[in-house]
Amino acid sequence: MSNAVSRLFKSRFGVRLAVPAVVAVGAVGTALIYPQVVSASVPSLAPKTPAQLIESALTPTGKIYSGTVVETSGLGLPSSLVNQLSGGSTSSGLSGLLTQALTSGVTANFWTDHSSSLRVQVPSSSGEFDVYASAGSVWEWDSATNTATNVKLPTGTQATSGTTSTTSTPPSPSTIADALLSHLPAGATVTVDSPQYVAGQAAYVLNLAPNDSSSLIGSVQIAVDASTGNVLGVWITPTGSSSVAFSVAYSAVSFTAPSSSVFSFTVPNGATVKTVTPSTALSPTGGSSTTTPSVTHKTIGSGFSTVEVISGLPQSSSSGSSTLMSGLLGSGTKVTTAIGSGTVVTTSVATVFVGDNGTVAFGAVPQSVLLADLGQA
Amino acid sequence: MAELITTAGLTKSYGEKLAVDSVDLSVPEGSVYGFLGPNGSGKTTTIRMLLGLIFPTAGEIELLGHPVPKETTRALVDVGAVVEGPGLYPTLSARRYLQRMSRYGRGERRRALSARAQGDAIAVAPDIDAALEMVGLSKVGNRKVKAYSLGMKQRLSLANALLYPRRLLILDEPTNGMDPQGIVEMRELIIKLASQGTTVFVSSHILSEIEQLCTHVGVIQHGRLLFQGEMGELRGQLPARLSVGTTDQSAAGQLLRARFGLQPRTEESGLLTMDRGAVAIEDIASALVGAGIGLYRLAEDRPTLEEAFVALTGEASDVS
Amino acid sequence: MFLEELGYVIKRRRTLVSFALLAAIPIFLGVVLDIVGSPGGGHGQGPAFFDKVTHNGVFLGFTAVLTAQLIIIPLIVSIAAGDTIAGEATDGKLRYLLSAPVSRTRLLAMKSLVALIYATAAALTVVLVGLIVGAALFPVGPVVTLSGTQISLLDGIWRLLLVGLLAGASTFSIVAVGVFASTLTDSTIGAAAVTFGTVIILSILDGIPQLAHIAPLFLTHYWQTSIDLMRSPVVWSGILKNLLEQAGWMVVFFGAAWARFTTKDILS
Repeated sequence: MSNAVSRLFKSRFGVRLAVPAVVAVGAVGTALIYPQVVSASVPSLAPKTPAQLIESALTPTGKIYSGTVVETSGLGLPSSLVNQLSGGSTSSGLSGLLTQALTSGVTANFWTDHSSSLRVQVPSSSGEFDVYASAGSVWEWDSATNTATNVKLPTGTQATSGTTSTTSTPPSPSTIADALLSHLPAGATVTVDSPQYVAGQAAYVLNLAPNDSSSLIGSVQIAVDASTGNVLGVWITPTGSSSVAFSVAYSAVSFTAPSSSVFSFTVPNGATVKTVTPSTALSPTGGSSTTTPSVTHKTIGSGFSTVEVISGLPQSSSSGSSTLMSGLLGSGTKVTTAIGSGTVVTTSVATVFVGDNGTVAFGAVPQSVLLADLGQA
Repeated sequence: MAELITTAGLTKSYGEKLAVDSVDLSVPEGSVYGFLGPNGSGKTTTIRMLLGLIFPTAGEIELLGHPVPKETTRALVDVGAVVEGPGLYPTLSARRYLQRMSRYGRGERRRALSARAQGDAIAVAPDIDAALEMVGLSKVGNRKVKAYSLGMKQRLSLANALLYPRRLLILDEPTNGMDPQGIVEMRELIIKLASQGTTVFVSSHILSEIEQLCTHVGVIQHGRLLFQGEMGELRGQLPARLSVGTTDQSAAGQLLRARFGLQPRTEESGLLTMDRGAVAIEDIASALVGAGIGLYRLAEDRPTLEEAFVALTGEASDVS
Repeated sequence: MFLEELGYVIKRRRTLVSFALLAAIPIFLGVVLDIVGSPGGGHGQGPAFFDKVTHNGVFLGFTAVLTAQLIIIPLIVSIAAGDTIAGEATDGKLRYLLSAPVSRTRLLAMKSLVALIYATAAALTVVLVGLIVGAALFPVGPVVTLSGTQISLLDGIWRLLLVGLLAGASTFSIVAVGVFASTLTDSTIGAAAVTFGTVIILSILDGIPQLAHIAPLFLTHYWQTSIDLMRSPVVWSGILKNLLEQAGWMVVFFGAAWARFTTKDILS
């Protein structure tokens, strides 16, 4: 065998084969190794202190007008839930996307003019889900069902990019980072990791390690664009694990304003048209950031072990019509707590309690801590 | 005279087996060179190496002054070839086949033309009708090749080699599958082409077919070139044979034995035959007549190519 | 020589049968849809755009080419590419072609180029027949993109042609693999079978999650990105990756084919 091989390399064929062989090795190397080399390569940046970085992250100098956001999730959801969600009959539209975001990940392109218009495009292999938001009108478009949904915002509310992005799309890296950084005083060790390239930009990496041992979060890394201060990515690693459980990061960004044509939408001929008001347009999990008059909101604890408690939501049985909600409840554990019975679902970075009486509590803490905190509610 | 084909130490081995073993060919321009050998002796392998179809294990080839395989295409502009039987497209007509083949290498042909002096110009446009005419396929040129007999296919292969005027024709067993009439026509065609100045390198294992047309011969056996030279030279290697017919054969035999040291044998026909050795024929004639023996026949028989071949290789050429 | 090669391939009976088969796909899809109507519900079942054909005949071209791209076009391209050298080697034709003053590199390049054109023509045939049949059987009009925006009929047809060209270009890697296989054997069928088998195996492996980290190397990996042309704005990144993928396979396998063919003993 080795004889045959050595003969091959001495033969004319062997000599000429070396040309494509080298190219093949080069191509495989480029395709598989180069991205890792790039992501592992360290941009040379002047050192900055954590405080300087946080400041530049909170006051970015350049605006990101468009880009691609990649969200990945390895939350360690109960397998029965994952199966139920991904096996769901037609997981199209928003609830399908949320399922996908929770179980694997979502990639979305977005464009904004930073004043009145936002466009989000979530391509899939056979179709696309879109949000077109501009002054006064928000449309959701689902190509799989050929349906355009007009989201009627409550009067007096402006359709701004801020509102719509929280209702319909994976949150951008900067909104998550802002939330995290505003919680900082509550106790985390902040260090600066070695810089990285994110979306082709040289970026500083801020590392937050919670001091609170009762938190499920082991560390949070935040990439801050060296030249503009924009947050380019957030990676959350659970306690006692080395793999990222949840991340949101840009894979491409553009700092130039997009053409206004990307925002325009008119209902195409033959499409089904629906109209909804936000309370039904919102998904069950999206409810956390919106407060309607009958809902009360409370926090227990501080920092990374904060538990949010929301009471007065519609009864879980009535909102259980969504695949996500029923799946969530079906996969959880029935518990009885100080504020009544309900269901607990744990993931690698968060625990959620859904009470039968319409109370929802969640936090980045283990089940035992969450249930103990509920006793103080 | 220039050599159109020369090889030096040409060798081809397949693993341990030597198919062609250190062959030094030398084919002069203007010759009709018969490349002779039994089946499996290495003829076809040598020819394929000459045309750049297979690569030598060792040795050098020069074809029309161009090293092969390095400059094969430049040499092939002036070469027509028939290689080991026909290679045709069953669904094409003869005419269409020749058209297709003529379109291969047109670029190289044009390039060669522009590089040459005016007087040495070569044809760029093929003459399909003339080629079909030469091989006697004019009347069936539009018929699909799959309806052809083996002999007709062989003729068509030859027509392909004759699409352009060539300096050199390399013909590997061109008469394979042909009827006697075809073989005669082939022979006449080769003689005609040779008279027009085309050098012909023709291989065969049927010596009688090419005996009358070759000026030069190479004999190959087991991959080794046993003889190469002019036809007369090959025959000259065998001693000339005498046959003697007299009125008293036993007296004649004794006289030839005693006077000249010859070794006559009596054939069934009653004639005495012997190798002539260095003895002059007129000395024999005068000796016999002087001894009062009536002489009615004294002839020297030239050895056939077949006899020379057998003497050289120890086997008959046509073993198939 | 190039025109001769092209003409020779076009006039072959195998080519006629193959292209008739390709044309039959949109005809069959169109007639079935015309008789039974649009699938109920229209929830994205079946081939891409399948539920839109009866509303706009232009989509028949899309549906047909995206369907044919998976099996039929690769099969037909595998056969054509596998035939390039091996087809000449059968019946000893190759030794006569190479006895003409043609370098092997040039012969291989011409044969490969014709096979690439053949592959492109195969995809465009499906698209064009789809467009014609779609226009004959169904209404045509402005086209709704996947993003829900409307583009003019002309723009829609233009994008349809681009999808067809991309479907053709997506098989260039198959041509390269097939030509290489063709230099290894004297059997067209053998070379074609190896090539098509490679495509099928790679497309199966492409779906295995455990191989996700090497899947981008598979020639089939970015085939479905041609649908990105139907987005607004067009998403180019996947399409460019596909073209890069095809180019990589072409360089490697055409290179290997060249290495093999220019050093091979022609014994047939």
